[in-house]
Amino acid sequence: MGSTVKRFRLDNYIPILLIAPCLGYIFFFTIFPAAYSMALSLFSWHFLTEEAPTFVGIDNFVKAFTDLRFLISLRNTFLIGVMATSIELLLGLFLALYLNKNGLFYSVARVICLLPMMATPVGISWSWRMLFNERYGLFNKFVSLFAGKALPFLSDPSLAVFSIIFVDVWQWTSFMFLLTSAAVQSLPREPLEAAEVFGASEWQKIRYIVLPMISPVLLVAFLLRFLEALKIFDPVFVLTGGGPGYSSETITFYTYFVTMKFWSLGYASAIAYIFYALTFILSLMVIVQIRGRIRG
Amino acid sequence: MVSETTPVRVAKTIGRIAALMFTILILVWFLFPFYWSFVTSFKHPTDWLTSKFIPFVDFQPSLITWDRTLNLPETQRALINNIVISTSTATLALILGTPAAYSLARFQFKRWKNRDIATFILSLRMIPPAVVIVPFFIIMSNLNLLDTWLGIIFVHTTFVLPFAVWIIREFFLDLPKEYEEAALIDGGSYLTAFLKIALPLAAPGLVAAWIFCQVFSWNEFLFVLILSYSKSITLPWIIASGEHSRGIEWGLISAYTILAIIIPITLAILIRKYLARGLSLGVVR
Repeated sequence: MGSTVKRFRLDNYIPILLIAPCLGYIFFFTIFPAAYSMALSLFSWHFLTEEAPTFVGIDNFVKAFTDLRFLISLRNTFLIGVMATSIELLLGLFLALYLNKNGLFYSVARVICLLPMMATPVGISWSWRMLFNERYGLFNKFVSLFAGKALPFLSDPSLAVFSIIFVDVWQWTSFMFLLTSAAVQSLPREPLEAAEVFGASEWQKIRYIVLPMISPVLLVAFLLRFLEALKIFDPVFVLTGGGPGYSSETITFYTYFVTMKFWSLGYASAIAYIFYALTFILSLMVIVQIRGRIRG
Repeated sequence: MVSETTPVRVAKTIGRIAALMFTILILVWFLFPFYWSFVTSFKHPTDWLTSKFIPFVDFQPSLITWDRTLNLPETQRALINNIVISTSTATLALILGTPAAYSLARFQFKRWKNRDIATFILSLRMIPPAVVIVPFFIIMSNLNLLDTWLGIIFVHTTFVLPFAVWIIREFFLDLPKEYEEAALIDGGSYLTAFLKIALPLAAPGLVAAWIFCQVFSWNEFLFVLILSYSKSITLPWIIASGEHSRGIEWGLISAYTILAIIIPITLAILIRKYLARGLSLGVVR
């Protein structure tokens, strides 16, 4: 359509007029704040007691790498990201293959498997916090049948992070299931039918036909979910509040804490940017993957 | 022959029942936390701190919790705030995003390639929220928008806009160009082609995109927490802070949870056809 004959003059500016408000908004509410925060990371600013920021150069960044709390939150964030995403991928893939059956029952089941992902994360976290409760939690009663006693899921420093991973897995397996299921169901029938003719087993069909065909989707799903899992905040806030102590804090949680409890805005910006730098390569991978698939 | 088929048939039936049982187990796994919150919200306060979960057998259901929840002034405030904020966010994102998406789908920009602009917009989605916690707090406090609808709406729109542009662009690319070209040949302007032809054709996709944005904003917690303290609180804010205000009240928090999840879940089921495509940013169709 760009090649259509020239019309009256306004039409030449329509494309730019259509996109300008959006780019303007993005500039004011994304680029400007991000740049502001980057600049602020070079300053020290205690919001409640200091009128204006003081320039401190890279002090905030140096401080971050000697701040045990920051390092722990960094470790937790990546631990949660890697473990949760991998388990979700495996479970989601399994569910997608397993529930890929005909009939009303299985199509209802496929919809139910999507529910956790849509539910308000803080609400879900509360449901699980109640189920984890050592005295009344039903999940803990169930676990104590096998473990012999109720486990301190949220109050034990070595368990807390894994409980957060557990809840994340419960909620976001849905996401992996959704994407893999959509990919599995849109597979062409012919290769599978051919394999059947040649007497391939169920496992061989999955291993040599289904998996190779859906692997690009698996990669994108993994990257998207991983990037998203690294932002985890809500379950941490509700389940453990970062505790016990600060053993289960994540980067987003710690940044929130430094901002709203310590009011050290410069330092908060610095740790957020260190985190951004660490995830940057990952986001580039996502963008390259998706960009390669786009049209237009 | 007949004596052989019976065991085979029995084995098949057993296999099918086993598969069914296993599926039911999966469903219990996914539904139980919802059921637990649901059931807790119908317990009498004296039953809150128990592990009873079968109504009428374990405990006598009661409407006390719901009665109290619905009559608390903060419930009504949070519910209204949630509706206003999520609806406005989705609408603002579509008002800004739809024309941009159309522009990227149908015109060729010269200096920047369309693909690059689209990729640039998408890349903004990858900025971690942690990076903008501080600046949004300062900006909103300078604009006197702390604890207001507007402050949260602006921030939420920031997060959903790249997604909206990206996915709506996909929907426009799916439309055949011919209708719009016909309109242009008939002497219509680009604007009429966009408003009168493309927009109605893309309507189902636009509704889906609107719902995506709506659900995101409805569930969002971090920035509501940072930007509000009483007037503009939402349901997630109340749920998360349930513990601090009056000691832990399981029933109340459960009622709030049920109240909060009904809308996003219903909306998501309505657009389930678009879910995979939307959430994979168009990679899965």
